[in-house]
Amino acid sequence: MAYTDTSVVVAALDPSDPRCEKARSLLEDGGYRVVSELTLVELASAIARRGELLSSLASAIGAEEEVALSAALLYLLKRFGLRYRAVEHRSSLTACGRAGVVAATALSLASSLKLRALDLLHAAYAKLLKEQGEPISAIETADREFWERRDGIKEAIGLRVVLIE
Amino acid sequence: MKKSKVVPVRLSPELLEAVDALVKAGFYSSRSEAVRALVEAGLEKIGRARFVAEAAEKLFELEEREGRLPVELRGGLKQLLEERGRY
Repeated sequence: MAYTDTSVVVAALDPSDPRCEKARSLLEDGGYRVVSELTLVELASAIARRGELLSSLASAIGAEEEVALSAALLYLLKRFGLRYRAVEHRSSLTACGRAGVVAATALSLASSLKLRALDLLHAAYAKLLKEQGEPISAIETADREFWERRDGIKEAIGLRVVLIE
Repeated sequence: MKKSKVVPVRLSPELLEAVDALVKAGFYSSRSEAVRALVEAGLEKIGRARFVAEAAEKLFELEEREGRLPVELRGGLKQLLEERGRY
């Protein structure tokens, strides 16, 4: 039962990367996996910027590129059994003023985790989804930054880090 | 245009308050017009979701026909991790 970082999904779609088979096997093992809206945004960006891929998908399914992109995201969620879960958005008070709960949580984790901004946002999503009741016990990733901060993540969020290598 | 029909609809006090606020703000001339417009907007959204779901099914058919994932991001992981470093 894990929060799955975008890097695992992208690794499974990247045959030029040595982690591809491992990532794909992991995603096809039938485990309970949750992704956030940040994963959808990163995947959408990765697909959309490959113009040829998007136009060939659109052509293959007879749809406009905007629909093809949404369809590709939906296909990937279903194909790998990923559960997209939304964080219940609310504002939260930070030292600098009000902020969305994801940003506020990321800010509160920054000093202890010392992660890069997008990794920090993923950590915040994982924490919030766990607090919302998702049965998450680990963060799965192909991003070594998470692995290098695994002790801090365990302490701050209570989640193990599983690195795909 | 077909003649419209009157349909009794139960709304929670919160929903009714939101509808009234839209009417009061001048977005709609009446509760009836507001509810009709919001139902139309909702159906349009659901229609699009159905269209996307059908398109996703076609990607499964494509995978079966071609024997490989239709979404391939060659070099994608390196790019993603590099971009995270730049973010």
